[in-house]
Amino acid sequence: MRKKGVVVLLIVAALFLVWTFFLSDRWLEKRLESLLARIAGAKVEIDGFDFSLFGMRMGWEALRFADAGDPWRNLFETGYCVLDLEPGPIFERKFIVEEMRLQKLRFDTARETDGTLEIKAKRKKGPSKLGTMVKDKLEAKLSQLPLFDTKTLAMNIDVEAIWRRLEPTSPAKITRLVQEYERFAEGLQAGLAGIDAEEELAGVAENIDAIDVESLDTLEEMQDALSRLDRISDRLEGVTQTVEQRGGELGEEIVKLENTSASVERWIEEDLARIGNEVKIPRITLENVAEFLFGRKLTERVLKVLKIVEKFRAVSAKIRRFVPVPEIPPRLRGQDISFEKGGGLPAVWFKQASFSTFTRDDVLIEGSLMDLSTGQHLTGKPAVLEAAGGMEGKRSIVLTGRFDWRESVPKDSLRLSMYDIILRDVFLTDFPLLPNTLKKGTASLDAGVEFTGEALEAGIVFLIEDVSFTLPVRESGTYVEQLIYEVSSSIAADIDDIRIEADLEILPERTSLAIRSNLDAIVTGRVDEVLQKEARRVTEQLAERIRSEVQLPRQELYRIAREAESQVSKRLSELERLQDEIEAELKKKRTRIEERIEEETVGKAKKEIEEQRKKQQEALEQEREEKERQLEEERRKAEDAIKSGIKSLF
Amino acid sequence: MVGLKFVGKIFKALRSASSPRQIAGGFILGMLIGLVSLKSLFSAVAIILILVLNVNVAMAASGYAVFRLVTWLVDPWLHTLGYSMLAEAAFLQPAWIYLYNLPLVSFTRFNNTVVMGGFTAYAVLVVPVFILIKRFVVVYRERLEEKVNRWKIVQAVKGSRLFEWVGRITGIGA
Repeated sequence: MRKKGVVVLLIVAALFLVWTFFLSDRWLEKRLESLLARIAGAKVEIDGFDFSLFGMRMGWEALRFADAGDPWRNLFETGYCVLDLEPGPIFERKFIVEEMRLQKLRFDTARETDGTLEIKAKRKKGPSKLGTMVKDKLEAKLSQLPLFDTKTLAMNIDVEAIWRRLEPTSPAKITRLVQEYERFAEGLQAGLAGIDAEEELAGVAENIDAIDVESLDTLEEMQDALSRLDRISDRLEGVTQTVEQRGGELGEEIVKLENTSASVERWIEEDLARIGNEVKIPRITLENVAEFLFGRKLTERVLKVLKIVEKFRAVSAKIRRFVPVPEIPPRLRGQDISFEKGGGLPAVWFKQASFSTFTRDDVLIEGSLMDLSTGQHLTGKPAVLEAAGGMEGKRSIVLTGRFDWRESVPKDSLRLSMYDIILRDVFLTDFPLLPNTLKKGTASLDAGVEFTGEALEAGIVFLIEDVSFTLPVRESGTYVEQLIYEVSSSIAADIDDIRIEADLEILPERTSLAIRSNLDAIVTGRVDEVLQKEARRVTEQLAERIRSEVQLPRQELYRIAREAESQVSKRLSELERLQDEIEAELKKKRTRIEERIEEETVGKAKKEIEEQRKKQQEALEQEREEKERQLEEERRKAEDAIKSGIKSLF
Repeated sequence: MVGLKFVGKIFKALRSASSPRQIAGGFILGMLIGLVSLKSLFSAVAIILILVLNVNVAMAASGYAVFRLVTWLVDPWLHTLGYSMLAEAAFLQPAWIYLYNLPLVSFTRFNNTVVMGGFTAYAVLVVPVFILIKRFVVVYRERLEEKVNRWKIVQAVKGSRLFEWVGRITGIGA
């Protein structure tokens, strides 16, 4: 045994005691600030830290916890705080707080100095799985929520702006078609001039005239003339076919042109149809009106709650990591492996913490947080939050929470109930067609949110009674501003109470947001009626403008087409008339020649037969008369015989 | 100058009145502090033992210095060894859990991979190192001391003004 050594040890022990009494508080304060700053990723300041080893008590006068996201604000700050520690677990390096009393807890307060941590935490942690999933899905939902923007509305009912966006194509297309028609009309003139049938027809007519039927004497001459007429007829037929073919060709071209003009109506219809796409006035229905009114605000609030739960869980998850993940620590630093799963006490356990805080409206809230620990599986108890408060001793705000991380799937729930909250000049919604600010009202709120693993379910019922709105100052500005003012004034006059119910569900497989309010029917009816009327007005104006733009070229188009058709028709009619005249003359001559031939051939034979028939008829008449005379004579003889017989009898 | 003082202290210890057992004892206590962390309760115990027991303090310091350097060099290996014992050896888990919940034991920081690796290495090396140091002291005193003193480098160092000056201040040359 070395006596000198024992003396040295005693001196060291004495120095330690002196340090504990006089210097440990400042040292511990700095160590705690540094530890908490590493957790927060921003500065943490503690004032008046006091640690009593023998009394097993620690506390501070004030604590400011800077927000890493906004270093000029504190996440929270506290006033006086005292913690009663359990002495036994200290020797197991465990920090068990029997009771904690915290005063003047305030959230989101302004800082006087920059809270940025100069030496950042070495490992920058990303957002949790819960945070990423819920945030992504909520933001996706947020982006899907209908947006009602007055500027967009103004753009969407501004005829000039829509006309510029619309860029109707039909007037230009029709003008190009008119130019095509004009070129066609020029070509048509040449085409019609190219049908040179008059000369040919004149030659045919001369040939017909050259045949003098009456001067024909013999049957041979007549048959020869008839043959010439056949040849002339063939020639005429040829000319007719040529004219018909050319006429048909021109007709086809006109039909083709007319078919093209059928596209004109289609082009106009297409332009008119596009008006509907450009006049995008949001359709307000009962299903989506509440989303318009409160969707964004609700999802933003849920994201704020999510941030709190995420922070709680991050601390818990760090401690609950049973199976250590191998990491490469810095030299001589090593990695600490936790054996908390085996039982015993958790590393940190706040058995009971009571606190008092003030809201922004200076409403006093008092509450307690029970069993907040880094190892709920060891304590067997979930963290439970209970807080209540109100103005002038009234219990008008109740907040309860349960953070259960005992199983592998954490379950967190928060419920906030508020009653008889007097609202004055409260911003309600950014929906421009409703007065944004409540002048006064009495509100009640019952909101609950539950996180199970990465799933989220939230339900909110918000009631405001005796509502009175602050109407915006009327601006004699644009047409849209006046329209909005009129709509919002008219809606505001009809609202006495506001009741909003919302359900939000974010599961791995689906996200659903349902918001209902008693304003739905009022807003839907009034706003939709006005907006749809505006949409119809704008649509009609645009349609009218398109029609007036196309009117002249379309008329010109149809005029050229009609003229072309008429020219072709007139020309073909002329030629047809000429052909008909020649054909009639030809027919007349043919008939006359045929008569002459008949006279020469059939007429003579017929005369002879007639004469013979007449002779035969006369002979038969004489024979009949002779037979009648003989019969008359025989009858007379018979009568005489009868008469003489009768006489002989009498 | 620190290195010179340190070497001088070793030579002084080797030829001092301390027994080879005290010298070896001091060395292995210093070796414990070098292999595990200074922040560990093991080190606190070792320091108390060095102060209280009649072991050679200079050899304890040299043991610490040598094995701190060794620990720095083989740190990844010690981490792997400690990790496999703490996290992967299932049969040891009940023992670790029991120790973890015992008062004061957690202050040894045995659940740190480098501390556990270093302590395991210490447990393996302590007896061989103790025997080796003890033997070395005996052999040095019997056979090597005179030869070493005749080394020109040692004479040059001993004869130098610097050594004389350092010796006067620290009492090494006595």
